[in-house]
Amino acid sequence: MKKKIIYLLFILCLIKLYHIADRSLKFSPNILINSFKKRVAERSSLNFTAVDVLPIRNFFVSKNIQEFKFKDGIMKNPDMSYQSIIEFAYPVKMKQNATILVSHNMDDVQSNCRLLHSTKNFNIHDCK
Amino acid sequence: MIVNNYINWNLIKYASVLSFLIIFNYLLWSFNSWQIIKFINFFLLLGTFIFFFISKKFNDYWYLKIIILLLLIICLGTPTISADARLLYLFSGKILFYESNLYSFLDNFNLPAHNFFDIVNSRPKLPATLSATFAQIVGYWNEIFPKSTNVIIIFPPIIFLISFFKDKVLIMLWLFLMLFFSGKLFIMGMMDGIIAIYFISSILITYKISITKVQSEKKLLYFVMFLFFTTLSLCKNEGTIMILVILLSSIFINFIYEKKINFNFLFIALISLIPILYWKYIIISNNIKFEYLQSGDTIGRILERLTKTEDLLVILFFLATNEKLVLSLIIFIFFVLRYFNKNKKLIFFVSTNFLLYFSVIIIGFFATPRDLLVQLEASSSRTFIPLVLMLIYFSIFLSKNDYFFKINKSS
Repeated sequence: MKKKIIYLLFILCLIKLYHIADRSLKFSPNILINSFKKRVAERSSLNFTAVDVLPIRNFFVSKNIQEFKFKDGIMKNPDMSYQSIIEFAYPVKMKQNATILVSHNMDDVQSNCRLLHSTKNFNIHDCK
Repeated sequence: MIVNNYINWNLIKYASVLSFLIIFNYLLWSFNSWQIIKFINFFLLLGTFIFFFISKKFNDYWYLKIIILLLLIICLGTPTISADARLLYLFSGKILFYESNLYSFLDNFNLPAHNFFDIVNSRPKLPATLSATFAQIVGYWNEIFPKSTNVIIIFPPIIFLISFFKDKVLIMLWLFLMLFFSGKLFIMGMMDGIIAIYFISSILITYKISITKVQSEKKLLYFVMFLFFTTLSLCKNEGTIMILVILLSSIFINFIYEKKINFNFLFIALISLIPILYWKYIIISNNIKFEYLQSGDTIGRILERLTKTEDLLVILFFLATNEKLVLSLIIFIFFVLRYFNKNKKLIFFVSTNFLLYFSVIIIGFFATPRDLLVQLEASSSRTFIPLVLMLIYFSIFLSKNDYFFKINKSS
């Protein structure tokens, strides 16, 4: 009787773990196999912000950019993308005196800024 | 009186070694130690962790081995979706991985007004240091494997909590309910699951210290208490509040039952708070805002909401519809009514902790500078998880003697 209860509870634990993996956390065998590889599951982790955050980080890396800053409007009304860019682009750091400027693509920027790259919602400028 | 005082001391010793190595990793970071020493410590930690799975001594706990391994596999096979996990906790680890310095934020950034970095940098960093050490050994950072060290962090308190149950059915029941109520919080990169499990362990250890008479056992319990209190306070800001709650409850209960204060307990508890107090000293002395309590007129906000019927009703609604909290309360009350005469001291102690921490959470909601509804929707469920798990664990704990006899009769 006791053994049966133990096995029953153990099976319930396995069912719960399956539920956590499959339903709650979107488990993928592909992620597991590649879990120790660089740049694994970036798009799925970033969720809806991936459309901007991934290309911005990739652009920074491809051009060897070390520092960037945000346009004031983004700073005043920060959203998830703003924080995700800071987090995901790291070790590219946000600094106030950087010449690389990230702005919303509807924003006007100074005349001395040159457009380098665009994503769905953001523009990257060089404002030397 | 407590009838069954079963404790598996081997498990407690194992939990204390593992916990010590986790804290030692943080201490190495806090002293800016050589990387090679951090690596050696990490390999020792990993070896100790693996020892549980290969040692014949722990073969009886095959189900725990499988569950922990599955948690690890799920952790390594799932994306880090939660924004809080990514932006607040794993980002801290990423900064540590690149900077190799726990205090780099004090001079590395030239940041504008928005307090995102303040929030990230001011958080306690123990789990982040372990992730960073692991990533430094691997050689790069990615979105997946650094968070797997959280499974190692939750292991000592899980081991500690089951070491008080002789009956496998009760261990399995606890493991199932723990997974049922908070399983995903252990592996998604958040701290709520970690502090919940350390909170329960800390309450149990405090209670055990108060009733243990054998000096050698008491010394080991004090050592584990020091380790668990330190870890709890260094995982999340709420951890320090939990320790203060346990301290107050302990003083209160000791005063009622013993008519004296346990100064050894108080002294060790205060020693264990030194790392977090030092951390907070650095944060405050560098004028970094570390909590929303520092935003605007907190007292005014609390008083305003306390007198606003609409806000009170909103909180009541969220409490009443928090099914995990309601269910765990019903279970606990059932066991309290059944075992009240046998375990008065324990029941009073757990209830005092519950009431104090519950009050702190409610005050926290009243104090939030965000819209109350938004705050409750974002965090009301996981904020109560420590209390939910506490009520569930101690319900099982209360029943362990009675249940044990019934199973023996029926089998």
